[in-house]
Amino acid sequence: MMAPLLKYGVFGSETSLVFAFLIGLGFGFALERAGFGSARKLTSQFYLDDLAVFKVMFTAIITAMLGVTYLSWMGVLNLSLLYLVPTFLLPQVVGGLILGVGFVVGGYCPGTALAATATGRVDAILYGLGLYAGTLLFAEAYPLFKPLHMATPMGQVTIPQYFNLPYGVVVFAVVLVAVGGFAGAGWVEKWRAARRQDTVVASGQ
Amino acid sequence: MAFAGGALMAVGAAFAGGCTSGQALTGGALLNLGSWAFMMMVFAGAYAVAALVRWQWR
Repeated sequence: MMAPLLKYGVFGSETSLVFAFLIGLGFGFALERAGFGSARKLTSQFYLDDLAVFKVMFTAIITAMLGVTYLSWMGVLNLSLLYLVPTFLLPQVVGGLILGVGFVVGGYCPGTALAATATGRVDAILYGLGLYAGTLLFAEAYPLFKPLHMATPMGQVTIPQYFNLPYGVVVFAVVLVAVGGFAGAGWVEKWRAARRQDTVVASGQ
Repeated sequence: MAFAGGALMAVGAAFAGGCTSGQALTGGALLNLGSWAFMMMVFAGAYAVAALVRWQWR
């Protein structure tokens, strides 16, 4: 066992900041390269015209999940030392809904807004100011939000633990769902493209 | 609209303990129960109101 590198003291927290910086550079580069510095590209996910958001997100999850799983099986990575955000089911469901609405209204998620700010997009800068306002609102009105924020605590729990399934089986199931999802996404994109074509022909353009 | 979306996003992320990267991607890869519930709700919320704000993405 040698990973997580930070927890096994392979390097200190100062060095980890250097790694964080380098990983951040790579992340920003990949987001911009995928076209995710554009709100129009991101939101076309929700109009089914371009499912790149779904595909990129799922690819990222699958890649990281398989990496973590194999490294753990090879005895390199100690899974139990990885930090899991504790589950608070109700606030996470409500927060997810609010965040989803914010996504399609504002056009970005926090990470992609940063990438788009770097290329000077004004809507992303406004979006960033909105993030500060929302954070301030949440902090200032926290007594009001606290009952919901702290509701239904379930501790650090993974899907395999909760449903009492072997880790590998869940990993395999997620991969199967992703493969099916990618095929489905390709089909939906083709169908939408064909429909757009029909509309153009019908309107005589 | 971008400002309002950002504000909503911040409140949502504060409730859920993370955003798209922190919760959905990281937690998704670690098979975190709450992260998966969160991720499905993000898409549900976005699809639910997408039709109402379609005009601004034309």
